Amino acid sequence: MLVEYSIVAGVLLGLFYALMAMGLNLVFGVQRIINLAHGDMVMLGGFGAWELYYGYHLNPVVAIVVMIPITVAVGFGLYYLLIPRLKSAVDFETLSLVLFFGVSQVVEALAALGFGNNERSLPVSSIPSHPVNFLGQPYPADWWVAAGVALPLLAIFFLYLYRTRLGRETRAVMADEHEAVSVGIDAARVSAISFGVGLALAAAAGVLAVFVFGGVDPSEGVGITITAFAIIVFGSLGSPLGTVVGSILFGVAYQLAQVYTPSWSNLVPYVLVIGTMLLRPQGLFGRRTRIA
Amino acid sequence: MADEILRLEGISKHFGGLSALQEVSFSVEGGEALGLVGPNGSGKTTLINVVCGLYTPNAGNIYLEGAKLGKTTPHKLAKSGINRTFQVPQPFASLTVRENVEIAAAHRRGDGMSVVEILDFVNLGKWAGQEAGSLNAAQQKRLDLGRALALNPKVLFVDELGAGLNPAELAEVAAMLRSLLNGGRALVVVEHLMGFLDKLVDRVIVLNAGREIFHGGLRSALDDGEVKRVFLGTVGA
Repeated sequence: MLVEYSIVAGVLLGLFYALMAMGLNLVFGVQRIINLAHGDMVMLGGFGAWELYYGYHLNPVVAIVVMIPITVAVGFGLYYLLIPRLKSAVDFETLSLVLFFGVSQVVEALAALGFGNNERSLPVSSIPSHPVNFLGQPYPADWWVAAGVALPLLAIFFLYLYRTRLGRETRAVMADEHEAVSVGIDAARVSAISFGVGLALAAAAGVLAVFVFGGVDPSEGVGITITAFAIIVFGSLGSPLGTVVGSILFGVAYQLAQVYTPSWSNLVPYVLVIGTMLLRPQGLFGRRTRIA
Repeated sequence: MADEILRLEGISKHFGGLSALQEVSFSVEGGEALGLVGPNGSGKTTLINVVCGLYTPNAGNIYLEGAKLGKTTPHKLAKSGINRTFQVPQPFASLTVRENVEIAAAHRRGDGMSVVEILDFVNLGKWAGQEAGSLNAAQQKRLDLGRALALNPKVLFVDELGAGLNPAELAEVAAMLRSLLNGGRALVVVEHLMGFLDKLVDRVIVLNAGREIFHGGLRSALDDGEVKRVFLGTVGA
């Protein structure tokens, strides 16, 4: 019974983790940048939901719909502010790590100044709260809500990436930026939109994280970035499908660890990264380091 | 006299202390195929990267149909009719062969060959629905050419398209490229294979260490003392 419980819980939470990690993988795939501030963007999404709920009485799920276009626009602007100058540097990948580490620290400090260091939460009544029985086991309602919101958002993301012209251009830039510009693709515009989409996915996951993690606090960004990074390395850097499958497997592994060896469960992301590096460095879906 | 399509005047490019191109000048007319040859590291691919906007030249000017090109982004140059293939093509692996060509055709100027016509032209019609990553090296080179053609180029830089091909494939590619000149298009062909160039180009420019050392007919180039020294390390027979 505990195994079945862990698997169902792992799949539910895995879909949420996929939403949480997808933006990090998208930004890496397009720009070859590990956005160390990714977890802080998730954290800001949580505080955004908190503000919208207490300031405008907006349901958190509706808040996601409101926040997506705003965060895409913010990410688009942020890209042009930060990235082009960075890309002109010889070793821009390394410099980007330093830059986004700095961004992460600044965002965390500003969030602490704005919201205080204490954890903030949303009332359980803001989303369905009765446990849901499935195969004879009760599961927290917020896990179902998280999975139920993450699944259509991921489906929309995949439709965008695989069924639209912009999505195909994004995959072209992921494959090779020089080849992409040589066929007339405005790689900077595509990258800026991808950065915005990555930010929006992070913010959407941040709203759900308030329920899944039980609240939001300014210092949670680092842990989220580590988990998301472990997932995308495991699934394959640059592979969106790898992120989904990797997230679900991570979710199941984490739940099994929670059930059988709870004191060790926080090691799961680190074991995943080290194990992937040693056994299959290209990740589950990787042919090479990056695939589009 | 045919119209001049592309003219380069005194193009220089430095990477730190390394001079990759030194005052290279030439022009190419519509319907003409120009060969660009030289040993490895002579600056051929650097020159293509400069003309296509991937590198900014330190000196010199480039003119397309008489109009000076200022600082323009590579994707805008691609749309304006300056197109290229790559020495080592990287097709968009997860897109199908057809999507690879369609994505370029969406950015083309004016009319040109349809996607189906292009796929037939480069003999990839049979593989249209297949992922581009599954093509072999020769097919990937033809796909690279197909993508460049989808943009309806005024001038097409072909970077070592013949490398690694067998004699039959070389003859096929040479005929394919030759047929592209009919529409008034200009070709600049970078190649090491002299037999291949002999079937294709009207004249050649020989580069060595970023500097033009010869400009004229291919046969004359093969008799030129400095060209022989650069390629063979000897002067005379």
